[in-house]
Amino acid sequence: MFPAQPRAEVTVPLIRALLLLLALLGLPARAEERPAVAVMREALEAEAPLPQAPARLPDSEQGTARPPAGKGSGEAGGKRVEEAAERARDQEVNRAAQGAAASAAKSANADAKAAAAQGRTNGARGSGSSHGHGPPTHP
Amino acid sequence: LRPALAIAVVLAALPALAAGDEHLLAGARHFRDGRFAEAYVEFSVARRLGEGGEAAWYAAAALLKLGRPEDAVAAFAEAEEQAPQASDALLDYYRAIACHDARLYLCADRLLAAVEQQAGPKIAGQARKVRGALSALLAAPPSPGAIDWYHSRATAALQAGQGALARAFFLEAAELGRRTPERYRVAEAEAGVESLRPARKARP
Repeated sequence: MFPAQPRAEVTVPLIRALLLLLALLGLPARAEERPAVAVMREALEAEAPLPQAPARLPDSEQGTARPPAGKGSGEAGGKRVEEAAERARDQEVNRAAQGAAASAAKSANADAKAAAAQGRTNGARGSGSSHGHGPPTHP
Repeated sequence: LRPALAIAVVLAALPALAAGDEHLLAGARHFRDGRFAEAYVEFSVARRLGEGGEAAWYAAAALLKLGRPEDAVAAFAEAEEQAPQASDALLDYYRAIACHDARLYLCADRLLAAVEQQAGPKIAGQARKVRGALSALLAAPPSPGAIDWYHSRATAALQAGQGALARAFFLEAAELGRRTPERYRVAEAEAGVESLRPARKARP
């Protein structure tokens, strides 16, 4: 009764109907401001930072060294602060990642999301260790 | 069979998109409450789950709030490559402050000039204030030593595999070099910028 291949006059309207359905489901959420975007816009405005230190052009004597971690701290002191900050940040990121992974595990595609969270943890940790510096201050 | 397969793929992807939105919302709430490390992780997860647009920009903003301006500069550049349409004046303000704190003052000034015109009164006011503080610094021609510093930072970033950050330092070095009578190391900086040009065209 049915042909082996779906006929165009059947499949094309079917695809159109499904695309319309998807559009109807998806577009309102995109057209209106999504909750995440609304919360974030408010948060971004409330948290808008000012520069951490006055602007000052560097000079070549500083070489590739980055600014010390604390205002007025010596080199050794700055390094200690940086190391402590890095340790704290790694711990903080690890804790946050564990929370994200647990949250992801509750949903249907738990494995994929947990892997994503884990991957991100590694990414975040890698990024932190590649720099390993606290907030910059200008000399 | 092929259309059915395509539809099945789309339907299978929908829950993942919704999950990405959940993480985006969780990140936004963490950010609002000042938990920037947690926010960064959530935005990163959201990004991996397909919320590539806003999530990349928000992750960059979280890096700035974590006191990592150079990482933020690189993350903003990547966000711009991936989702230029997701930016706005508020995010550009964050990007400008990331540039400022990474000592990319010309980058900061350029972004802040646009923010002043486009942002709401509070952010535009802050942008004006920061630009005012930058104006004296940028009025004087830079010393060769300062330009050397930007070259050094670009080279170090390049060696660390941070192409986007290296490019930002080279751009700054090129612009500063053009402000000197002898166009100090401009060609070298421009060559660095060109060699690190992103694959996709960035927003002008």
